[in-house]
Amino acid sequence: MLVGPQSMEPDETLIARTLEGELAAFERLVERHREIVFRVASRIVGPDDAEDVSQDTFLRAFHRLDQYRGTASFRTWLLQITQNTALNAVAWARRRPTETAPDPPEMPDRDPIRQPATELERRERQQRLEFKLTALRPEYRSLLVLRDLEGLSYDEIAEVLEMPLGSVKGRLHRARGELIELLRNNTYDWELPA
Amino acid sequence: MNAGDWTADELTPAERRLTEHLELLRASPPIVAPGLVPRVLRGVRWQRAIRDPLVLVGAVAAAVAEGLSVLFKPPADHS
Repeated sequence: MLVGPQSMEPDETLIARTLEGELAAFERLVERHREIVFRVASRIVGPDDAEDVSQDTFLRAFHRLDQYRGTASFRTWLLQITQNTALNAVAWARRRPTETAPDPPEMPDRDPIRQPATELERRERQQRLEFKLTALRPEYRSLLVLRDLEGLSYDEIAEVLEMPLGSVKGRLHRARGELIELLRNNTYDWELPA
Repeated sequence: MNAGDWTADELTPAERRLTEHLELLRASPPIVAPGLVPRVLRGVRWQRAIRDPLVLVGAVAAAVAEGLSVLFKPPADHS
C-alpha cells in the first residue's frame, strides 16, 4: 500500500499520467477503485464472474480513458462501465444453456458447534437475502446495489445509469417493491409490514 | 464502504424494514480477489503491445484497398 504524497494524488492527475503512457499511474487507479468495482460487479453478476467483469471494466476504462471528460467523478464514470459490463455479462449468461437453481444454496456446514446460534442464523439470513437479490431483474438489482448497498446519491446513480433523476427514484421504488414481494413469498419470515 | 444516507429517503414501513435487512449485506461485502490488479495490468500490457501493430496493419490494409480502388476504377461514362 502506498503511503505519502503519491497515494494522495487526485484521480485526474493519475489519469493524465496514464494518458502520457505511465502504467504505474493506472495501477494506482485500479488499486484505488478495485474494491467498489468488485463489490458492484459481484452483487450484479455473482461472485463467480465478478473478477472477470472487474477485469473487463478496468481494461475498457483504460482504452477509453481519453474519452473521460471529467464532468462526473472518475468513480462514477468507472461505475457506469462496471454496470454496463455486468449487465452484458448477465445477458450473455442468460443465453447460455445452464441449469437453474430454484433453491437457495445450502449453508456450508463448517463446525456448527463452534458457531453460536445467532451467528448461524445471521449467515443464513444473509445467504437467503443474497439469493433473493439475484432473483431481481438485473436493472433493478443494479439500482438497489448502487443505492441501498453502496450508498450512492441519486445524482450519482442518475449519471451512472444515464437516466433522469425522477426515473431513478421511480425505478428504485419499484425495485424495492419487487424485492419486498420476493421476500414476502419466502418461507422465512422477514417481518415486512404491509 | 461508502455509507450513504439511504435513511434520508422517504420510505414506506416495509422499505424501511428492507433497508434494515440489507444491512446484513452491507456489513459483509464481497472481498476483492487478491490477484485482480496484476491480472488487469497483464491484460493492459498485452493489449497495448498488440494494439499498435494491429492499428498499423489496419492502416496499411486500408491504404492498399484505397489504392486498388483507384487503379481499378471503372472509366467514367461520357456518353
